[in-house]
Amino acid sequence: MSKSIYPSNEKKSLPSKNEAKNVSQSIITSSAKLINRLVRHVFLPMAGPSIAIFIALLLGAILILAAGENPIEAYSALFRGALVGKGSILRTLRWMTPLLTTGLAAVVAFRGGMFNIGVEGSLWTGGLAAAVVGIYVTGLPPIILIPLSIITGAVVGGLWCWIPGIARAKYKVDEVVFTLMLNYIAILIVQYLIRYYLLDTTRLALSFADPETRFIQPAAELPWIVKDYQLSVGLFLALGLVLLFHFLFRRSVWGYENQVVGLNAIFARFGGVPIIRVAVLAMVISGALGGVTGAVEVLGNYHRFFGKFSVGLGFDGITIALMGKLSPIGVLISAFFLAVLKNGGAAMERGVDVSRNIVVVVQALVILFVTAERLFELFKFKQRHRAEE
Amino acid sequence: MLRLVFSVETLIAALHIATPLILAALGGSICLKSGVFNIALEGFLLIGSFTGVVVAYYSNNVTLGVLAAILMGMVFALIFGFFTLTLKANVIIAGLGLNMFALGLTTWLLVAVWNSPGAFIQPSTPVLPQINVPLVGSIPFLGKLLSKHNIIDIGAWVLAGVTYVFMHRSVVGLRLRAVGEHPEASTTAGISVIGHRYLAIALSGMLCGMGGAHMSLAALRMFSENMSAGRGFIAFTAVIFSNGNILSATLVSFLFGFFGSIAIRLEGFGVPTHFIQMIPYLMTIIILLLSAWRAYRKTNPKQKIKQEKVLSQT
Repeated sequence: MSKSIYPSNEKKSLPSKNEAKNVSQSIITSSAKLINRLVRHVFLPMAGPSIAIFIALLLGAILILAAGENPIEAYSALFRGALVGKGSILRTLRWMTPLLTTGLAAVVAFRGGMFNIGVEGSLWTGGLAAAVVGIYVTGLPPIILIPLSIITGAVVGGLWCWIPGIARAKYKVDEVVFTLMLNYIAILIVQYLIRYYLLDTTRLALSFADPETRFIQPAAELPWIVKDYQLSVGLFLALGLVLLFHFLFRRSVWGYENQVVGLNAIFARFGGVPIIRVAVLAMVISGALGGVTGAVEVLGNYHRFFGKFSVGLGFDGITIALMGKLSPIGVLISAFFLAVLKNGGAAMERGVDVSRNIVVVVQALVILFVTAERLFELFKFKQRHRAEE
Repeated sequence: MLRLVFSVETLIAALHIATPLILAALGGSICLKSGVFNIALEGFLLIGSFTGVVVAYYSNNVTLGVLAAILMGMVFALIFGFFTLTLKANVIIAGLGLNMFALGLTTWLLVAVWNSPGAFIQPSTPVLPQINVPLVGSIPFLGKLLSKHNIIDIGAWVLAGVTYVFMHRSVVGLRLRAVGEHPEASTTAGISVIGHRYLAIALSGMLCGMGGAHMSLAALRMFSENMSAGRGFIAFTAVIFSNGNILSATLVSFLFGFFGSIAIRLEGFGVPTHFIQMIPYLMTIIILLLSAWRAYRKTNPKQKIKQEKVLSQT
């Protein structure tokens, strides 16, 4: 039987019939192992979020129906607008870029047991810092200027989350409210700085309604992958970061400590983990990733900083982290899904007369359902019951 | 400048701004005392203000608008309760989800039903009538301060007293507190933990619904996108600061209202609007830090393990 399935292998490593059998068998077992691993690590964890997404889409459909529109048409317009055709997919990837990094930011913080809602604030402050470097640090070649600018964004974003991080870890200040309030403050400070110090005076009429900075130098711009669809190499950077954190969580001491502190701080303490330092670091890294997101948005897409800079990307990160079960690979999948919803939502608004805000509703429902543990216990219990019978 | 800032008008405006904060803080206090960490106040406020103005406009009746807002607040509270209590979702995440749901739903309805993105403005919407209590108006300083408030302004302070009595002098109130203090013992005593927490959440939803109706129906006659703008969280901070103590939460909410009204006053003095808008949020952070500092000083720094126990529990 093995002969018919794997003829090429048998031919290549011919020495004896037995050995060939072994090779083909080992291929079968290893592929079975791979499938097993895939099922256990990718498909099973996806079951819960998939159910949550399904219910959320269903409830969204009911809302669309209640508003007197056809939900099937609306959803098909949404998915067609995001996935069919080269331009649609590229634009979806463009939106996936910032979502990957904000999703990672939320994952790092949540794994460390910190409910960081302040990624949005880091995004604004970090983005502005990157823009300032991109505009005013002159005379450097791109190979130095771009990393410098992104790192500045990361540092500023990280410092922004360091404040609530240290307050939470040392003094037990509620980090949810603290980071949320810091978001409002960050946005106001950034708008103040643009309005009074960084305003683009060459286009004042335009700037007054919606304050903007000058464009960054061409040397600071991230190269495009496809210019027409605003897709820059920021995508590769984001994907690289996802991979990096995948290995950090799996293989590094920091990844382990971060997770243990999040799961059980007392256990971690008795295990000799410096829990305060680890918790603060989780917040700082989370903020730094937010800053990187802002920097990449500025250097990669807009090439300047303006008033309506982020459309709640930091909050989307929370959805993505929860949908992805706090794993970087999960972030990859759910960031893509949310990018589809976001990009397709705009297409849906153009094609069918259904406002794209329904996407926010669906997103909120996903958040609600994805953590509703009992819901999935119900499903699991039924499965187990059936297996016993 | 100082005279203008600390004038009767500022205090009147403070009372006005504080009303939704007080109502939300009352709801938050009940929840905290019964062991529910309710950060969904923001969403309840938002849905209340939306329902209030829409129903008041279509029925041309303010009372109906307020009642509908209270009802809708309760419905959303029950949804929140369903997720956190029945489906055992994480309270903070479910709270964030609910806030986002309220925001998304109201923003979407503005476009889907009225095709008016950003805001629902109907000048013909009836507003809450102002009540002039006889005799009070003739008192020299207080008269000016206490007249010309609408029924919810007054109701917030009355409800603060009622809630205090309810929580501390009634059987249900005692049970609510018991459920928060020691759930296991309450279960042993035959008190339904989930049932009472549902009640607490429903009450907070109703109070927030009323507060929301005040935001849209007191003077503005409109609803705008994300109208609550963090007020739910500001109220929540007042609750944390006072550790669920109802009277103190009310006063801290009023203090926040006072800061808000000072901020409005300062606008005429050339302070950049960005910083003025920042004041409520900054004050919230300061109060938050103060309450944490107080708790930190109480715990003996030498008992580090004890502290970290708390850290791991939350």
